[in-house]
Amino acid sequence: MSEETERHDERAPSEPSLVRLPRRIDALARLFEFSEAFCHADGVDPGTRSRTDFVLEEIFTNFVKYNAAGTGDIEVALRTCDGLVEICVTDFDSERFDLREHAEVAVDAPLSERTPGGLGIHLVKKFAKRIDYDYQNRMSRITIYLELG
Amino acid sequence: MFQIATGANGEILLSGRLDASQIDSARSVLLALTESRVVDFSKLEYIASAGLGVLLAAQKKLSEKGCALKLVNLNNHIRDVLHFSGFDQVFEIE
Repeated sequence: MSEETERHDERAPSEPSLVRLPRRIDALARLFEFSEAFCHADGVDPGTRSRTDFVLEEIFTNFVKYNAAGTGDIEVALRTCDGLVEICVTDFDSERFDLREHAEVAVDAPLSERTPGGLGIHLVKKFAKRIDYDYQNRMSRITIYLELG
Repeated sequence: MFQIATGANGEILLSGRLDASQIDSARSVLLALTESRVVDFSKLEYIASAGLGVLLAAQKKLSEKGCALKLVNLNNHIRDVLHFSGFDQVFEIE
């Protein structure tokens, strides 16, 4: 373990950074600005920052595309804790969607049989150290933990 | 900001961040290709699954003509994304 990683592990959990964004794909630019500011302030390494952006985009766009009829903004919260980045995305008006139950993608299939569907969720699951899910009263909250590099 | 251009030797040059909001320009160029090309990722910082979908669609279309995309100069994050997607089995990656 590097000295830098040890320093991350010894730090107290950061205060969560929080933003609410409209349910639109063009809100991605604001989402990445928010992520960049958080990663800069918390000293997140570049590799973990890329994975944080990837996870944020996939979960956010999933809510936008598959729950377009939902009302209200989508809330995103980020913090570091115990050597991890905690990514929490909440849709307050959604059907249940637990990505842990998502079907596996055949990433070894021949080209002719490949489809892009499900790749984003597949990759989120690959990158995640842990995934939690909470659903109650139409509130759908996905929390993903990434290891700091 | 994402940009796609054609280099002096016909290679496709990607730069910036290819997220879901930037996918139309990538789609319009890559799906119009009719022959094998090198795609240079050296200035591409980030790719999301929407970008993977366009690459996959272009590769499938080209393969019907016996052609293919070759992906070069990927950063570590993009290399991981493509590896975990199994793209290293259906693309030549350098």
